[in-house]
Amino acid sequence: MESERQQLGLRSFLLPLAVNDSPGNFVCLFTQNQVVEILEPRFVLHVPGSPGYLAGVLLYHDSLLPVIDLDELCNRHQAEPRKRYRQLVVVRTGAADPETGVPLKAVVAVKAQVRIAKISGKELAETFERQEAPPSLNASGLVRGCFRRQDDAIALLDLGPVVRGAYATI
Amino acid sequence: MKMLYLAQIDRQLFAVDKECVIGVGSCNGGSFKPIEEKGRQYLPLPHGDRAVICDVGALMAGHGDRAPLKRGVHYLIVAHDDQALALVMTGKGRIVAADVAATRPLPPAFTSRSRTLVPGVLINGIDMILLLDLQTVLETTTVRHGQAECRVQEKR
Repeated sequence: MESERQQLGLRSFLLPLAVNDSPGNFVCLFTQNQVVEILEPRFVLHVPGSPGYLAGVLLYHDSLLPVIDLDELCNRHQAEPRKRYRQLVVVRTGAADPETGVPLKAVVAVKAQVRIAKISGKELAETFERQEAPPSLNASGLVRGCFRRQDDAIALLDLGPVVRGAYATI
Repeated sequence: MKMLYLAQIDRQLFAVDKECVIGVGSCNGGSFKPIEEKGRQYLPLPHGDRAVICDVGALMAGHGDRAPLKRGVHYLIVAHDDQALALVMTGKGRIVAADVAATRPLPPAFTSRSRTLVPGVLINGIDMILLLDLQTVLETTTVRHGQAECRVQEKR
């Protein structure tokens, strides 16, 4: 059953990523199981004194979720022109709260429209070539994998350290 | 229930304990000039006192559009230990009663400075109010002015 699902391909959510030192289209892939909901832009409460990759907090179903700016996270040492967020993607991070053990969700803010595609694990392995992540992306320390096919590149990121509050120490 | 003073800073709501509030100051531009001393800015108060100007909004400058300070700025003047702080705010603010037991901490992603600066968030319907820790506000402002001063000295 599991292999059958893999053959068919799970729906994947491709979030456009601005990686300064990489040509072509770069997207960050989240699986159907990771994505909870895609929200329209709404008011994000900024928290003073927080790093640039934390855009603020959002009240989502009675929970306070951190809003992560992926472009800031992946280009931390380069000035990135700020644009308005176009969509907010609520994701399961797979990490748990260090104190309560509650699974942690996060909101990923994207500045361009999220694309939906069916990419199976097999397709990713066969048609995409595994490659080293660009230096700026690699410097984030959050890359789990990076794949390229011609001008398209896909990155898999682990947002666990960010939502656990362990990222600042990486 | 606790009485809090609600201040709007850059389109967001912040709260401090009402008992700390000394008053609200207004500045209509023109003749007003803050006193500058050792990289810090002070708001002159009656009877020769003064309050350290703390711009919390400047700490959010990296996030989104921030309107520059214009004429008609208001200051929330609060007492902290033996010092007075003047928090730059939009409008005159207001006093509210709030159930502080319902305060929630920031998500774990927020660490160090942001966590100490904002020890809790009050949720009122769809509004979120950030509670401010005055000691951290004072320290953060001091650090920022200190850094600015260093940069100026390096240029020289």
